[in-house]
Amino acid sequence: MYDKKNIVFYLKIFLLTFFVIQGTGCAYQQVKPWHRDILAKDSAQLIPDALEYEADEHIYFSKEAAKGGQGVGGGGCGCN
Amino acid sequence: MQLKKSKSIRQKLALATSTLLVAAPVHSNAAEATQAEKTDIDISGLYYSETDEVSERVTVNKTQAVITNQLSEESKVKIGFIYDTMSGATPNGRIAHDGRIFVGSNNQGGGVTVTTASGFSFNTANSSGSSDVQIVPWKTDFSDNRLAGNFDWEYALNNTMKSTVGFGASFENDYDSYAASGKVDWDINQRRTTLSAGLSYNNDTVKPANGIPEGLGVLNCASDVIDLEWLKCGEKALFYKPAEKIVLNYFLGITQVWNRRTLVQANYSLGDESGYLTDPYKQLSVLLPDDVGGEEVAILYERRPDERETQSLYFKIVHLPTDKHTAYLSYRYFWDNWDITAHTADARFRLDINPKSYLQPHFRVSYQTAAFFADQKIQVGDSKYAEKPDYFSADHRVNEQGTVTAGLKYGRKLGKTGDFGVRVEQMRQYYKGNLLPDMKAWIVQVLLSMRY
Repeated sequence: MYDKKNIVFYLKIFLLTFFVIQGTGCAYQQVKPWHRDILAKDSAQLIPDALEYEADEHIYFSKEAAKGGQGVGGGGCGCN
Repeated sequence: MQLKKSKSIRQKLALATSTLLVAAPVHSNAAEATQAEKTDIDISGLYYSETDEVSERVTVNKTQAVITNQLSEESKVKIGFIYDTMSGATPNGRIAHDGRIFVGSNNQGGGVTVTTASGFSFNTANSSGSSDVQIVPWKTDFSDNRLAGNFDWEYALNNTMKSTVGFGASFENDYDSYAASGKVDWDINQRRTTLSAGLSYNNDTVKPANGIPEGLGVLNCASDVIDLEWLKCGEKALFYKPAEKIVLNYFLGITQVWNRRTLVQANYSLGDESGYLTDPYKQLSVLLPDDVGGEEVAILYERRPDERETQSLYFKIVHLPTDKHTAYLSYRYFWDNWDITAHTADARFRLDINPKSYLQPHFRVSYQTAAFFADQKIQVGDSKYAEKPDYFSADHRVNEQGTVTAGLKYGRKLGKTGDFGVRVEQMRQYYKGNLLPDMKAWIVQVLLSMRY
């Protein structure tokens, strides 16, 4: 059943988590180049798996009105 | 003397620093991290299957292959192929009931009085004296294939700046798309910050087999029970030649190394769409007033504006609380001049269960408001539709809806340079008004990467 309250609730929880991580666990530091070891890991990429990302973009592009946000490109099908 | 020594150490440190600065980008991908491995091959197989409370809906099988080659230190090319097969039934915009629509297709003479499921009786005779009763489904069956290819060329302009140009083409039986894009990334602030700007252009052609139907034109209609002056049942929709649409997208982004374990990104996108933005397969129901049964008495084709401006703000955090855990959190706020606003949050959490394998739960939630021209039906007697609307769509994708997805991925390293992944997710979609049953979709994807 459609329930706007549930969806908005999930979004609020997410936003709270987002800002808690941003505000507490992740204080800003001027990281030197020789301290980039952790962020050089495969898992520490903004898009760690391009084909997984592209598949999701295609699915949600064809099922929702909103699209994009992470970069240029996308679209190119008659599914929306 | 000591001062000289100190200066010498500082100089050495400066030299070491500058060397590292050149070698350490803000976010390197696997190919950049291992220069010795020059070619990446990525393959994906995706199975997507929808059902609702009534029956099965769309099924998609998607096969994708991408080859990336590091031509030189400055230059990298990427070639991708996609083959999709799509089939099943998709909601066409009519209200979801076993409604009957009356059309004059048989010359049997005279009319018959029919009592509908809701008890409302009326005569089916049309102007030519013929009558017929047809059950029109609220879902449309379809089957199509899609073949697509793309080519990207990434080139380092200098030590801190790289450009990417891309071209793509996609072909379906009823839809062609050509795309071009360009992007520049500029590392500043000792490579702690990357500024990005991009532009993409799509030229698409919509070419249904029967032509493009006239927007708000009549598909089916019962002339003798319609009480809308603007709806002329005798004037069936005209069909036109294939139509084009142009989509331009502009993109600005900033990526920041926040600390040793955190990367943050903020993007702004602006989209400008023009041309035929209507879906030629979508329809809408015209119903009698509820007090006389509320039966469906006409079906029209939908019509959307031919201009759309979209905008979005996108935020993402990649955070590694420990060396074995990675969290990916993103939020997108989207809005357009069709009055649609959408909030989308996405969370993935990667847990390395041993040096070779990991588990990654995924949770996504999205909510969108309706476009100004979106509604579920036109009801005779509703003052809102006393005059013919300029635009109307009953497509759930431009109506108010919510989507929730949850799933799990398992990943494993294969040898020294390979990766395997499989994920299973379930997506649920909820629609306003309950005129359309909720949708449930299974997503299964298998991923394989090899580096040579």
